[in-house]
Amino acid sequence: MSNGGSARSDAGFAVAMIAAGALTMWGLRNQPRAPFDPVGAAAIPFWTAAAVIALALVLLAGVVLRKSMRGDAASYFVSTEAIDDSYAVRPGLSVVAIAATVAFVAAVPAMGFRYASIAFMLVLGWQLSDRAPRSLAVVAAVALVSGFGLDAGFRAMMVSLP
Amino acid sequence: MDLAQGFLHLLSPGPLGLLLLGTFLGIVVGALPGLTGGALLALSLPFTYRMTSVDGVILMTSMYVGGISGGLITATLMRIPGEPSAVVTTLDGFPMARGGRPGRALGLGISASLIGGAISWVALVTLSPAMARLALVFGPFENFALVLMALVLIATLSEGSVIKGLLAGLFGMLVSFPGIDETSGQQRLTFGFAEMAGGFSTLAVILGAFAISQVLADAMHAGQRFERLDPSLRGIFLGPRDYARQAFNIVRSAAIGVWIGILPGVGASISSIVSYSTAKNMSKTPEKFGTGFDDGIVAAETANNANTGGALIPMITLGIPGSPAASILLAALLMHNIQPGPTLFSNSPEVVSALMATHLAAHVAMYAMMIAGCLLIARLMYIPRAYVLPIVIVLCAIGALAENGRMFDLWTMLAFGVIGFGLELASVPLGPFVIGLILAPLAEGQLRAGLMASDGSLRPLLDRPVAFSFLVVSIAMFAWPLLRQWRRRRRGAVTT
Repeated sequence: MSNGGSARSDAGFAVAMIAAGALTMWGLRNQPRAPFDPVGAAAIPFWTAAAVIALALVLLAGVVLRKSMRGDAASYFVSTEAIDDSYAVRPGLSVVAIAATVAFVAAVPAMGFRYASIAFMLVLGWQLSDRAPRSLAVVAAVALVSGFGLDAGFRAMMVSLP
Repeated sequence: MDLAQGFLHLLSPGPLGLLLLGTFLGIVVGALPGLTGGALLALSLPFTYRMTSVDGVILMTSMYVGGISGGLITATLMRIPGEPSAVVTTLDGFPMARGGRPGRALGLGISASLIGGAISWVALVTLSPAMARLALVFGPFENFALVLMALVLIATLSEGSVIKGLLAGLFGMLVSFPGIDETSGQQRLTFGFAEMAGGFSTLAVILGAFAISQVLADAMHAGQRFERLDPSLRGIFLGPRDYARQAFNIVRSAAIGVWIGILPGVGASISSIVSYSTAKNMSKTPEKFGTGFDDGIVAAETANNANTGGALIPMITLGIPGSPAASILLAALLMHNIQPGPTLFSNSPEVVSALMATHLAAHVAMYAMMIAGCLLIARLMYIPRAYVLPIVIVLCAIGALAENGRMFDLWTMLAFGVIGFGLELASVPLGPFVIGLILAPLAEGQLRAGLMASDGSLRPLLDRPVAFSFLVVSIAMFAWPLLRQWRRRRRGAVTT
């Protein structure tokens, strides 16, 4: 990510944190205090939200002053971008995955978990595959076997699925 | 605590099966780029519901060990680290494999992992009871100050910006607050939604932040294909001379791994980096590092496995996880109504002995599985992501539903998946977020219990020496990186 991109992402993160802190403070505005409790249920979330806002403002000030505090944060994803440039990284596929997952979750109450998960695995697998007929056949087989298999397996384990 | 009973329990078919299954799955997922051991642990959490707490601990501890170890296979053979902690292994493992000695490179890594893990097990078994006894004298203020210190340490010692690490930890705390306040029994931060009365499900948040976010990030790389390899395994077994030559390096790297593991929230990747740098700096032939040198592989792999035992010490004795993966183990124990901390040794000794026995046994199982099947495991990389990623999301969804069967939890998982993905894109570490989420209820409960006892006065935080020393360390740990950064900038300004 470029320095500009880094500054933008830092600023976006800081603004999101300020919003989260402000939302927390707003949510606590009418919180009553129990008589036996010297600080009340709102105090610690309120202090935490205040600390979040203060730190986010420091981060934002750093961005504004072009003193980005960005470092190489520890990644829990293994980035292979730097290692392997033999393929195109397609950020659009992450957006497709988010959209497909939203549709999947929305479809569960209407279609039931089994059929919603089969449809989801078909659609997302198709989108992520190379679209060759053989790959599509495998995607379909994986979706059907996994969909029916997981559903049956977890119902047998008494996991309640919609 | 009877350790022998822990080992005996592992010999019965059910626990043994869980140990082997957990280790195998951990190695496979650890070897696959993209998915990490942390995601596997998050994904497995709901499946431990139907198990006894001991069996759940066996499964998850063996996954933890397998996950840390598996990354070295693809790091060595393909220069593609399956786990962040195996990144340093690529520096010498891959050149050695490329130079025609893949068997030796794997043998060094696998053996170092076993010995590093075994040394950390000794530390786990010997240091934990002493640390638990010490922690028994802590009151609420000491416990609160300790959690505070842990949160500051997590933020400052995880790689990257201190402020972003702290913000991630505090944001994790904010996420834990909605729902019923345990001290007063009042609802808070529900925003009028009935579903929020129970708060966010910790499991759904962890599944989203660790697993869904990873799948979303991995989807970008769906087009990646790996070169087919058919390397020989000649030299995978090391001789006594190899062990003798590496003895000092192994002990030093294990000590670094255990120590960094004990520090809250600092994962195995830092251990391997520090250990590798130390080995290089102390070597008579530093120029050989990075060219396929035995010492480099041994230093990295010993330290990242030694980190596992170290990370479990504060988790079981203080209830503070030593690494992000250990925080998920902690969540598993909490879901089984087991409170890690000094009383764990007296209240649930069977859990402690199962965890300790599994930690060692999983390392032995890992050694056997990786020696026997590393080439087979490496071939799993050829499975296209298009087949795997949708199944992982469906498994996460089942996991989120398994806890309460609420659609709200499914939406929570999805929302935190997107948030976790966004945090990753903004280079914000996820470890502090998850640890903040898990430690916040403990910190709040302890502080409020202390305040009730002191009539609302924070004075005991300053009057009690242990609590005060934890506070001083927290302030120093917070201020030091900022001071260093300021001095570096100032020096830079002077030289320019």
